[in-house]
Amino acid sequence: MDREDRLSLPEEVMALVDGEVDEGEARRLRARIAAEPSLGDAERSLRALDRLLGHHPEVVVSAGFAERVLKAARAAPPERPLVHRGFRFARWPLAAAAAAVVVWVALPFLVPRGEAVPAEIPLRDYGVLAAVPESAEGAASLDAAVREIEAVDEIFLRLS
Amino acid sequence: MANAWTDDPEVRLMLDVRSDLPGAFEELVTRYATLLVNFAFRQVGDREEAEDIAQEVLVKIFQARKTYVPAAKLRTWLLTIATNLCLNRRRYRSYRDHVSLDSGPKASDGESRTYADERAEDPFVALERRELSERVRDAVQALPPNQRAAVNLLRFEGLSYKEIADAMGLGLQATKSLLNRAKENLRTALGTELGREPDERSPVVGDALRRER
Repeated sequence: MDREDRLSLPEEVMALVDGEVDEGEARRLRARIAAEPSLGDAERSLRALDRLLGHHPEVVVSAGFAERVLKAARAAPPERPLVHRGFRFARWPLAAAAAAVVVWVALPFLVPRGEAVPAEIPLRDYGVLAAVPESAEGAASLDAAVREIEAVDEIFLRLS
Repeated sequence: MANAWTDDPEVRLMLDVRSDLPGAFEELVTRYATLLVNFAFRQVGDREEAEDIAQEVLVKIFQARKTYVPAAKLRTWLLTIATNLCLNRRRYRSYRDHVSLDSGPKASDGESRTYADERAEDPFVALERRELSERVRDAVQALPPNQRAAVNLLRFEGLSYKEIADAMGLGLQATKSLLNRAKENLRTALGTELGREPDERSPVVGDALRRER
């Protein structure tokens, strides 16, 4: 039993009751249980609990269940590749600001020296500026994102 | 694509489903409906909701059948999906109940529940058996959802600690601690029942329970 698997004594007794210890370990534990009445009580109690749980009610599946499942399965669209759905408004400000900073850092290298930077910089093409918030919270986050982009936008225009 | 699991008859059934073999999915539904509904019932305590969850599990695996790669016992895989759905549904429900002003406590499924074990050989035995079942069910339902899932997988579905750890995305030691806490809670909740051996119950019920041992 390595360090990760090392159990406390109650857990060892539980593992014995659940048949999760090898024969050598079981022998060692049984000897210890025989010598310590409190461990014997714990073992009996766990075995009694195990028996008692056998009285948990069971349900009979309703008659039309299989037909319902088959109908639902046939109607369900095939699984699409997992799309990243965690990108919500709450993350937009950070992502939008990061994107703006990347553009700000990269643009001087992309624009040939000596040429004027166009007055209309396409920073406003970010999806965030066109996004429609679905809630008040979303709207607040969206506003914050827009303000951050505009701030970076302004700095960039001033520098250029 | 052969691997160590392809000799397993359960896995072969799922491979037949993947190949759209006629009747394979129907066979799978028939074979696993009771297991999934009862697993979900022990997890959510409501038969209708349990059937919804079982249906969702089966539909999900049908939708994902083309990407199925055998990597575990089919039963373990189904229970893993069911565990996640049950825990997510609980999280969603507690969030929904928290934010919704008009969401009252969910009505009990009352008469709609059918007990498989309701072959009342004697009305008194049936009554005491029913009461005992209710107390056990209430104790299990009172556990936090993750403890309930761990006990459900161990005691009722016979998964090993390692399989439970994999199904719940936990480490082995965390799983053991979770089970230990769950059993402690159950022992506390069922303390009076644990103290009564079958011989100490009424003679009729004592006999009936003793026969089960």
